Amino acid sequence: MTQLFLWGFNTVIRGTHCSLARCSLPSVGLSATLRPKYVSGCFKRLNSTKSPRIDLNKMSTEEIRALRNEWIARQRKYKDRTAALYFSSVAVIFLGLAYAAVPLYRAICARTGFGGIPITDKRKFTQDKLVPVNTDKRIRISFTSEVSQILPWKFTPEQREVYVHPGETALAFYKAKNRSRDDIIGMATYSITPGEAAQYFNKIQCFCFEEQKLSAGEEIDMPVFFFIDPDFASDPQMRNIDDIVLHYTFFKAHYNDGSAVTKGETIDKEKAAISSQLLSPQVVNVQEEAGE
Amino acid sequence: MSGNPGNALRALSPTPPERGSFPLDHDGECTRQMQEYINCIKLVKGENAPNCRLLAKEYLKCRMDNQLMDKDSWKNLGLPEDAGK
Repeated sequence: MTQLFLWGFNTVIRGTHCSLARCSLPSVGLSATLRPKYVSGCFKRLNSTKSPRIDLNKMSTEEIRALRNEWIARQRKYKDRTAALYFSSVAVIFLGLAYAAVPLYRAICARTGFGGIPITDKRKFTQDKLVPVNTDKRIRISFTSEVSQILPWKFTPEQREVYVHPGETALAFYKAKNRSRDDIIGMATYSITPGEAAQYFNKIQCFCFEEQKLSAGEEIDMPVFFFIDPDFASDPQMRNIDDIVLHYTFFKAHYNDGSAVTKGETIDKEKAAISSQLLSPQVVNVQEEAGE
Repeated sequence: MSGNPGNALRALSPTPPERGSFPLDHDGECTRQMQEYINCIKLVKGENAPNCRLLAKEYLKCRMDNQLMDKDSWKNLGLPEDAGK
């Protein structure tokens, strides 16, 4: 009889799950002697819909205790489910952040140049940057050049120095001559001395970082179009810098299948350096037949 | 852009050239203009004088005409505008 009763009561409780949460029992450590009036008042609201009325005054202590345990279990189950949902949503959010971090990181690095990624910020080259600063002092830009020892080219600047104002665009030329009998692909890199001035040296167009192919015996002029950022004049750290040296180094491009050099020059593939990478001038023992 | 004084790391991050690399003038179409410019620079002993800048403009114009450079306005290149052309 009591079991049937409890079963009936369980179905009632399940049916009114949502409102059960509002029936907050005072404390878990409730004594065995419940106050039936409190509990019954709570359950009376629940029972207002259909189902047979439960008169707790007529129930025994064990039945009430069973009821209470059942109810506490439901509370706990609800709380557990809520907590589990919160934690799983936090996990999902972090997973989403991990996926979003890739383009976000890329965007931040492109903007700030952090980690060596070149700054592709077009705002460095706006028109107001190209207005010369009206100072008396002109900055002397010297040009130097270097060629890798295994590159049979002659590479020199056409002018020794140029005096510019910050913000003034200037054109400079380098001349390169391929002295060998083969078509050779070279690649140039540059460096600025002193290092602090490098951030103000803006190149509009040059011939660096791209492969340049010279036929056998060909002589060519390579221009560099650049300007010094006008903020150079207002930077206190740059006040003592009057001389900037632009240094270009030409390396030999080297592909593993030897296609960087054509017309019969053979490259010992086992001893060749890593494919399509720049060979530093110190690597002299790479087997080449190029005459110097 | 002096909003970050003492930003020493800025010097370490390289900036690529804005317009990339000049195509090589294999046929020597603009050699004459280049030579004029070099002579001018040697004459003024390196000072980026306005007349030399005009010759530089001539050189770049030659490059643009021969498809060796993307066409662009002179203002974007920091060179004086054409006067009366």
